[in-house]
Amino acid sequence: MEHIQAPLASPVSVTELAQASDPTAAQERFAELLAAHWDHAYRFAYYLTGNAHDSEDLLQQAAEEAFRAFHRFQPGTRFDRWLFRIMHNSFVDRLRRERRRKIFSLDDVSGTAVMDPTAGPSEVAEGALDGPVLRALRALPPDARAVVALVDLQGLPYDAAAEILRCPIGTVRSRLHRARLALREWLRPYVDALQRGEL
Amino acid sequence: MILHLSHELTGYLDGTLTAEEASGVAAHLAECTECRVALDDLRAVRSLLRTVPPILPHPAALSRTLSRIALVETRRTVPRWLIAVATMAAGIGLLLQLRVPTAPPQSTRVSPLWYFQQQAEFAAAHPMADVTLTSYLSSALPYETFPEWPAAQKR
Repeated sequence: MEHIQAPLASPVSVTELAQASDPTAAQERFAELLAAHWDHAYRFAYYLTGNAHDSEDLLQQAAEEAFRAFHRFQPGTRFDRWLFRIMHNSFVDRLRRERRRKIFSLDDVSGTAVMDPTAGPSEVAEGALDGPVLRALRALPPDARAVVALVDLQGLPYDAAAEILRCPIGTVRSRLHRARLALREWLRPYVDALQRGEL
Repeated sequence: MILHLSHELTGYLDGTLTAEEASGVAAHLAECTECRVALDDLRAVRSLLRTVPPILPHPAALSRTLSRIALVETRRTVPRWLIAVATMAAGIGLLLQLRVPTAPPQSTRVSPLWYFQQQAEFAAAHPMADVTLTSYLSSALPYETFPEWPAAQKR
C-alpha cells in the first residue's frame, strides 16, 4: 500500500501574471496559483513542522512573503518550487530564531525516542500520522527531514529538491541516504515485517 | 577488504545514477551480500515512508491565508518610495533645525545658552585641535552673564 503523493502540477506560465501592473489582478492571479499548489505546500509544511498549527502558520508566512516578492518572480521558475523554497527558508529562520530545538546529528539520535514499545507493526498501515513512521520523521534533523519530505513523501525528483533546498544534487543524495539509514534503525521491526510480507 | 557502497545505494535505488555508475553498483551488488541486504533495507524504508497517507489542510486555511494577503495588499497602497522620501525630508528638516546658527540676543545681557552654544559649535568644527582649547580659554568670559561670579563683582 503506497500513498506516494502525486507529482506537483505542471508548470504554470506566470511570468506575465506576476508582472501585471494592476495590483488587484496580480493578487487574484497569485491566489489562483496558491490555491493550485495549496495541498502540496501544506503537506511539505506539515512534514517540516510536525503539527497542524505550526504548518498552517508557516505556510501562511511563506505565502505572504511570496506575495510581497511576486513582482520579482523570475521567468522559467516553477511557482511550486519557488513557494517551497521560500517556505523552507522561513522554516530555517524560525529554527534559528526560536532556538527551541536542539541541533544534533543523526548519529546522536537514539531510536528509543522513536520507537513505541507497545506499538505493533500493524499501526504503520493504520495511520502513520500518529505512528512510528512520522515519529521517526520528526526525530530527523531539519535538513534530513526536508529532503525525505520532498523526495520520499512528496515524490519530487532530486533536482527539484536541490533547487528548493539550494544545495547540490549530490548533497540531496547523501542526506537522503543518511536519513534512510537512520530510519532503517529506528523502524527496524517494521522494516523486517515489511520484508517478511507481513505489512 | 571489501569497500561497501554508501550513498550510491540510494542513488541506485532511486535510479538517479548515470549508466556507468549504475553498472558499477550492480557489479558490486552481485558480489557483496552485505550491500544487497542494505539495499533491500533501504527499499523497505522507502516503502514505509510511502505508506504515509496524504495530509489535508483545514478547509478554511486557504481562505484565511488569502485574507491576510489582502491585508498585505492594503498596506502596500502607500508606496514605499513615498514613505522613504517623507522620512528623508523629515530627517533633513530636523538637521537644518539643529544647524541654524543662533544669532546673539539683541539685549546687552548675553544668555548663558548662547555662550556655551558658540563654544560647542566651535569645538565641533575643530575637534581634537589645540585651537579649540585655546579659543575656549582665551575668550572673554561673559561676566555679565554670571554676575554672581567673584570676577564680575570686582568690575
